[in-house]
Amino acid sequence: MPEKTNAYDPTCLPDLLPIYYKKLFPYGPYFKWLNYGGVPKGYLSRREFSFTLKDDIYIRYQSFSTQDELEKEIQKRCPYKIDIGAVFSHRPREHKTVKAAAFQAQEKELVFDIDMTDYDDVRSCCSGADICDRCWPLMQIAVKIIDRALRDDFGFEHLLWVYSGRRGVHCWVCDETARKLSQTGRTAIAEYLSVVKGGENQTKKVGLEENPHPSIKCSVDIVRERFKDYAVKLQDFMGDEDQYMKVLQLVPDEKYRAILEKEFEGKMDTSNKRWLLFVKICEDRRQKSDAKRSPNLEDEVMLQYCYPRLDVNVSKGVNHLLKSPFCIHPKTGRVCVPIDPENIDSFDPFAVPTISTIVEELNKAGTVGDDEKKVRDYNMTSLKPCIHVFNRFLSGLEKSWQGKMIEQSDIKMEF
Amino acid sequence: MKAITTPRSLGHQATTTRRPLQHQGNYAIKANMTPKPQGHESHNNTKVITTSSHNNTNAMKAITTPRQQGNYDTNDTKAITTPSQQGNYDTNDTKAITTPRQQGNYDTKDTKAIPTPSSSSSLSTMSSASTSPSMAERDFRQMATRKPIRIHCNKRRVEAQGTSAGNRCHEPPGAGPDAPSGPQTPPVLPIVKHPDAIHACHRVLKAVETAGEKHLKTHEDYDKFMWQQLRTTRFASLTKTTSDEDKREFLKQNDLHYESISDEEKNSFREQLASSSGIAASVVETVEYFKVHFTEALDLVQKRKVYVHKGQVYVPYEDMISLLVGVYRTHLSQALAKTARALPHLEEDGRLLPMLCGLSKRYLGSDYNVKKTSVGQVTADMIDMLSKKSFPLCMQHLHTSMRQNHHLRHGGRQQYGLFLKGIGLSLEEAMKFWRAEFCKLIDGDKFDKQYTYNIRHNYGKEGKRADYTPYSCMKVIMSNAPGPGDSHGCPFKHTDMDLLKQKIKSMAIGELYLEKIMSEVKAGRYNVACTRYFEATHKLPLEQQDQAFSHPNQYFEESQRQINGNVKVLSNATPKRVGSQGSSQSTPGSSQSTPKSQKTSQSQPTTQSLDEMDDDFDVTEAEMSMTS
Repeated sequence: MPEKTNAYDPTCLPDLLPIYYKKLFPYGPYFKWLNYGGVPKGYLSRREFSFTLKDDIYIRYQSFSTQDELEKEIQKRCPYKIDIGAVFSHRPREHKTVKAAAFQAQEKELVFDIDMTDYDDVRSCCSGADICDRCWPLMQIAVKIIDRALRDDFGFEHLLWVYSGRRGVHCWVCDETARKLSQTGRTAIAEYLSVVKGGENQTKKVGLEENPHPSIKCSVDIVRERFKDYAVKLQDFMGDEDQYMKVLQLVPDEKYRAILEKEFEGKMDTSNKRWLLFVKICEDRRQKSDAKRSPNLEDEVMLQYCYPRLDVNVSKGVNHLLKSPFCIHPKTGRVCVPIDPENIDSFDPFAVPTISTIVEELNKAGTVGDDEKKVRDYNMTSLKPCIHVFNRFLSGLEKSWQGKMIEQSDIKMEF
Repeated sequence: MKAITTPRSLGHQATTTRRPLQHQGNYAIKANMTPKPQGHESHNNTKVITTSSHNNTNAMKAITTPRQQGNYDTNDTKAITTPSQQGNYDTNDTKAITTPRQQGNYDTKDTKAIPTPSSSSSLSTMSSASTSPSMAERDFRQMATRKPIRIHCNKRRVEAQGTSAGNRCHEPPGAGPDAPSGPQTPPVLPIVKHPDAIHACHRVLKAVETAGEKHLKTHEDYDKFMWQQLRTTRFASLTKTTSDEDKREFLKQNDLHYESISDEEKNSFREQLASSSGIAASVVETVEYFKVHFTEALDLVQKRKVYVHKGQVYVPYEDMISLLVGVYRTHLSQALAKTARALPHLEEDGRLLPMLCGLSKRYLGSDYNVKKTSVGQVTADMIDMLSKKSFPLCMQHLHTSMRQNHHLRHGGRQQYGLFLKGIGLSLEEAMKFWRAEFCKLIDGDKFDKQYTYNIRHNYGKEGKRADYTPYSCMKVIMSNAPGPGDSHGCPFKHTDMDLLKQKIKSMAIGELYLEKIMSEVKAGRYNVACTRYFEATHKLPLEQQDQAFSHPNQYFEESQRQINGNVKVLSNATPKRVGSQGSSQSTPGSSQSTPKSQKTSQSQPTTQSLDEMDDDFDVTEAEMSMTS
């Protein structure tokens, strides 16, 4: 995939990072987020950060009491990557001073990690860490489905979606209920949201009942809307024999598989025609009540090809670290920017600013108006709209603790 | 009376009971209780925690005739060997009689024999009946489920083999744990008599429960078990037979306030309610739904069995039991937390703690932790050969998958790496082995950065330096199912039937074996299928192995034994059955063909397994940092 305009050379990273952390990293909003209005006391100071330094030196259990401390340490270390962990019972920095059993992860945002690598068996364009315009829609679908489910089903409101810098997206659910969830709770939600199941040796990874769960129905609707444009047109997912055979393997009964195969070999020579026929045959199956196994076959196929594949282990553990927003991906140089889920369709991962571009933008801007110190440095770069997205998320989040502050002060006054 | 009680309340109960000393009888804890029997053990062999000296006396009698055994002085600790009781005890609890698995030879005494102000309302008692997979396990539950349990806990043990009807219960004091009580009669701990001692006793009880809980936590059947347990409680029967009023009474008594939804609300969600609970839309009207926060019904959420909307779940009446399980679990874990704090007191008594700590381990087969003797027996260059001959299918699969892709994902590396460690591959050899393969794709530097930590970690050389044990079949089958791109897991479970069939066929395995393997797979007895596969590949007659494998390393060792003859390896090969001395009378083929016992044999958790999982996260974290 062409790198478009955001040229980036990984060897420059050590030179660029100090500038980025000095001038551009949005410490203010970042701190505001993780401090949660200071409502739970000492929340930030009990939060684990971990840094990956140059040459993959990995340091865990960092913690900071103030924004200043955080800022200084980041600028000093210039980490290649920052991970955010749980809020512990004690300050992570001091974890060795307490008994191992007493040092426990108490809270963390509920997080989701969706990685394009997990879709390798259903995308024909790239594999592994690569992404392109033809497979990126998978992430758009994923964000839509998970975002809807978290909001509508679980009633969460404060969802921070972040582009992971290369091939996936992360979601941070920041509602208080979510942060306080136990491992069992996290597992339950992650499993509730996992529909595609099975490893290398299981071809059929989605099984739906005759009358699927309402949440799945909503997901099917979201996929259906995009399926033609994405799978049929972009991926051409039944384009050649290998590909359509993969789909046919999902048909449980020999009879219909044979009918379809014959047709596919003959007149039906494009993905579009083949898919239309497939849907039609599925309908026939149901009409003739031959569809005891897999009554919603076409939905199953659609979900197998498009339903978000979560890395559930990331979500399950309270004590699992996840890469922080606003990191720089060392390979691509892109900033891990927040995404507005409502505009996910217009989000282009290749247009995400890289560290080289924003540093350059800053240099240019710096020479123009040196007097106007009031403008924050990142607002002079293409990072601005990304920070704007982040701020909007924050202003929503702020409301959740404003009420709390009043409540708490009410209690203190003891009328 | 509250039906859902915590072990804490047991304490109060007992201490407030008038004259507990007299009718308490003895309270002995047997060393070899087995909450989870091995697959081949039948219920008859299951030992129960407490024994009563009132041989052939039923609970009622025991309770109502105080002083009967009142010959124990306070502070005098006496040892009593288990009475070998014969004959069938009837249950006082009429419900228990009707339950299908009741074998008639052990009893569930409902201890509400003494009318207390609270126990007069029988409706509110959650008395557990005995559909649970194992008796002792049930007893753990019972202790917590039933408030009216007093210290006399009339649980008996009937010895399967010991048929002596004699009452051997009054062994002289001092017989102690070392009393020569025969192979079937394991040491029994002394009796506790004094009020203070009763407190201690409760701590013991709770501690036992902790151990049991710890044991259960790692257990696949845990939820199912809890569920079953509550199902069989009065509440479940209430749902069918009694009036609404009584049900409400029950909920009220237990301080459970669930709000049922209005008809309007029901109508507006009718479709959704129907499709989530799998009932026809027309029936929805007749069903009562309760609205609770989703965190109160996590198991229903996880299985997508309820309609979830804006953080609320709509639980149909019949799934109420799930909510109760949740409440119960909370109570239990709170109580257990308290118990855990009480444990240090036990340290004073050097006899109890070791036993309790050993409790959760004693039912297991070997954990295949690396034996000193076997380290270094296997070298990297032997693996190819061994994998063909002696590896179970899951490991063969991982091996070929690794050879093909020159890579394995995390789940696979864990499962395979620890297995190799278990067969005696040393750290140095392991490093050599993984490096040689992975470096066909990546350079050595990258390998060092990304994988050496992981490998060393597994050998206890990094992080918290725990010496990890290889995964058991249960862990492979039940936890961490493979996702897209993963090649770990149990091939018998995690492979499509057709594919599996083809695969096995391609190994030139006879039709007869194949059929048998596939039928076991269909029945969900994956480790039995694996055992049949073993017989096929080792040219053994079908069903020659009387016991299904429960550990990949067991497969390997057994295979080596078959190939090399019964030399030396033998002692290593058979899993140690620590807790089942005397009861491990495995009758070939008798119990293993029943699905239930298979289940139990699959489900041998280790206490380590939890730790391992915890630690997996550490590894993933470290790794995640490298890969994403």
